[in-house]
Amino acid sequence: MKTTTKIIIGLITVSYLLPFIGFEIERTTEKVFLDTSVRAAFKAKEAKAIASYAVYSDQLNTDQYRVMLIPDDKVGGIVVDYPAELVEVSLSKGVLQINKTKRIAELERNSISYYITEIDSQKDPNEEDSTEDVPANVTVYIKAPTKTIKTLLANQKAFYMAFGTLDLRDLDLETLDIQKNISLSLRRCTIKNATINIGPQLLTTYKTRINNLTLYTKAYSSISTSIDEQEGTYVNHLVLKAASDIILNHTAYGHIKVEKINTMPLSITLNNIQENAILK
Amino acid sequence: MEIKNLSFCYPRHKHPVFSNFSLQLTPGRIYGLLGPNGAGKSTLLYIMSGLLTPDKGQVSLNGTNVRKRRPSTMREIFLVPDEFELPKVTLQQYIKTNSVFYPRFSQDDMNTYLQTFGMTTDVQLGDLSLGQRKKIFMSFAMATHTKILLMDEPTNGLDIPGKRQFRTFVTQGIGEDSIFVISTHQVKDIESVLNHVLLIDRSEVIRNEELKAETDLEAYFEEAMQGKEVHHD
Amino acid sequence: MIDFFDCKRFMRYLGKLWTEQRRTMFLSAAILLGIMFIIEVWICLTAYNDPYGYGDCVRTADPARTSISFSCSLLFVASSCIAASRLFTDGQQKAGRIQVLTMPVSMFENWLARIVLFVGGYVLVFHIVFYALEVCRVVLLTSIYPNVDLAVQSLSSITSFQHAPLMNALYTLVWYIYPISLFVLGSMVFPRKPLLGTTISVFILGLIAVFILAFFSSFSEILIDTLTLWAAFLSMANLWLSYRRMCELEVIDRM
Repeated sequence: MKTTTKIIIGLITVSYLLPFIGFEIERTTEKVFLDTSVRAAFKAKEAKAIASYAVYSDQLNTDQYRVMLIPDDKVGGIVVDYPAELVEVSLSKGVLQINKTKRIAELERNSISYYITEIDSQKDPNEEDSTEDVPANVTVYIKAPTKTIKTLLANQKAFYMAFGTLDLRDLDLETLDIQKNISLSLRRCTIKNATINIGPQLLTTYKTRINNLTLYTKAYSSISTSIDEQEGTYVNHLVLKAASDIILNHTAYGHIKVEKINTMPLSITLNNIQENAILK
Repeated sequence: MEIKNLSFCYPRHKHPVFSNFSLQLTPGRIYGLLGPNGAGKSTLLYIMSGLLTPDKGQVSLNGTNVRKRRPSTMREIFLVPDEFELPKVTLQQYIKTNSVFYPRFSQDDMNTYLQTFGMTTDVQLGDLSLGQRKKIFMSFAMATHTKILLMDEPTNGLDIPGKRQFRTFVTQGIGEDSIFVISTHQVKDIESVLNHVLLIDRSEVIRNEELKAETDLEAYFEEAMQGKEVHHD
Repeated sequence: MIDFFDCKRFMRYLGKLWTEQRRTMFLSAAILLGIMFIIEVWICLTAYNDPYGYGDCVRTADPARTSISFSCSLLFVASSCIAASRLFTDGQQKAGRIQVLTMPVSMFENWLARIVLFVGGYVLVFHIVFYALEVCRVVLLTSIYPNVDLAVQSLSSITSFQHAPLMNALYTLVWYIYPISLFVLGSMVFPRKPLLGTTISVFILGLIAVFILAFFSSFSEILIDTLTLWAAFLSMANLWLSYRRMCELEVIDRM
C-alpha cells in the first residue's frame, strides 16, 4: 500500500474519532456549576444611578437575567438581593454597580465553561440528565422606596443595563420613558404616558394599564420588537412608531395608531379581535 | 545507465516480472531489447524511465535514481512508448512548448528529421493519422538529443518508407555519449541498425552481446529461445 | 540546476499546460456562463414577479438577493469541485500519463501548475463570470424597477457562524476550500475516474460521518469550532497529500 494511502486512512480514522474524543474530554472535564440559590444582600443608603454590566448572553436568554425594581417604602435605603455566585454588587461614586463575580471573570479568561443552575442538594450535579441543559434564572432584586425608583426611572442616564430584562413592578407612574436596548417587563403598573424604545427586544405586560403608550418598533438581523400582552393588560391609546412588523393582541388596546418611520412596507398583525373593529 | 538488483511484480500477479535483475548499459550503443511475449521488455523500459516503482533495487543514470524523476535526470531520458498521446495543438505550438525542457533540442535537426519522414511543421496534430503522429513524435524525440532514448515498438504504425526513414535517422542520431534502446518484435525492421542485443526473459539475461553485421535476428532469436517456457501471466 | 522548483521552468510548464488545455477551459467557462445565466434569469423571473409586495411602489429591498447569493455559492462549490477533479485530466489514460510523468519538470512544479490552472484559474473565472452577470442584472433591472434596492451580490456563507465578521469569513473560506481539496486529492487517488471515484468516496464517508454525528444531540459551538479547525487542517493535508500522491504515481494504478 502506498504511503499516502496509509496517511489518508489514518486521517479518516482520526476524523471519525474526533467527535468522540471531544465528547470524552468534555465529559471528563471537571464542570463548574454556579448556584443561583446562593444569595447575598447589599445595602446602600442611596444611589443616584444603577448600572448592570453583567452580560450572560452565551449562557442565558434575555428573560433569564432580570433586574427587578421593587418599590418598598419600609426599607431605609436600597437593598439588593442577588445571587452571590453570579454577580457582585458594589456602590461606587453613588452608582450601584452590578458586575460578574471575579471568579466568573477568571473562568472566562481561562476559557473554562461554567453552568448556571439552581442546584438541588438531593441531586448529583454530575449526573448526565442534570441541570446544565436548563439554566436557572438569575434575578437581582432591588428594593427601594417608591420615590427613589421614580427618580431613577425619570432620568435616562440614571439607569443602565447591558443585558437582560428590566422588571418593574407595582409602580404608579405619571411618565415612563425607556430608551434602552433591553427587554422590559411591567407587572401591576399603572402608567399615564409611556414612551418605550427598547430596540428589537421584548416588552411584557401583566395586569398593567397604560393610558398613552408610544412604542417604537425596530428590527435587527431578523429579530424585531415584540410585545406580550398578558392577563390584565390594557393600553388606551397606542401609537406605534413602526420600523418593523409587530403582532398585537387587539383586546388589549383602545385605539391603535401606526406612524411609519421608515420607507419599508410593514405588517401589523391584530390577533384576537373579539368585537367589531374599524380598520383604517 | 545501471540496473541493480531489480525486483518488480505487478499488483495481483503471482509471478514477479523481475527478480534480482541487473544490467549495465554503456553509451554509444543501439541496443535491441528483445524477448518473448511477457518477458518484461515494456516493463523494463517503464522502469528505466521512472514510470514504475521497483519493489527492490533501482535504475540509476549517472548515479541518480531514475524513479525520483528529477528534472535533471528526466531531461536526459526520452521514452517513445507504443501508445502515446499528442495534444490537439499545431506542431509549431507543440515544439515551442515542449522543446524548452530539453536543453540540447535542435530545431534544425527537428526539421531534418521531419524532412526525412516527409512531414512539415505546419500541421494540426489532432488531424494526423497514427503513422504521421508517430513520425512527428519520433522526430521530436531524436531532436531532443537526450542521453537515453527508449523506444517501444517504434516501427508499429509506420509504412514501409517510414520504416526505412526510421532506420536512417536512428543511425544518424546515435552519438558517443547516448544510449538507444529499441524494444520490438519486428526484428526485421531494425536488425540493420542494432549494434548490441539484449535478449531477456523476465529476470534472465539470455543474450547481452554485440551484434555482428548481417545477422539474421529472427534466426538468432529462435535459436536463443529454444527450450524456454512460455509465460501465461 | 534546482531540481525541486525553478521559476522559469515552472512558468514554461504552466504555459504548456495552458496551451494544451485552453480550448477545454474556454468551453467550461462558456458552460458556466450559460448555467449561471439560466440561474439568474430564473431567480429574477420568480423574485421580481411582484417586488413591491402589496402593490405600493415604495422603496423595497431586492427580493432576489438571498436566492442569487445562495444558489451561486452552491454552484461555486459544486463546479469548483468538478474543475478540481480535472486536475490530472491529461494523465488519465496510459499514453497521456507517460507524457505527464516523463516531462522534465519536478513533481512539485507539475502539481503546482495544475493547481494554479485548474483550481485557482477556475475560481478566478467563476468570480469574473458571476460579477459580470451581477453587474448586468443590476444595470438592466435598475431601469425596470427603479424603487428596488438592487445591488451586486457576493457569494455567501452557506451556514452562519456566531463569530466576528473576520472569523466568519475565515470559517466560510475553510468550508469552501475543504470540499475542493477533497476533489484535488481524489483526482490523484482515482486518476482514471476522478469525479466518479471521489464523489462516491465522499458520499460514503459523509454517510458514515452523519451516522456518527447522530450520536451527538446538539452541535455546541465548541464542536463546530473544532470541526472547522480540523477541516482547515485537512484541507492543507489534502493538498499536500495530492502532491505526494502525484510523486507516487506510476503508469499503472495501485493503491
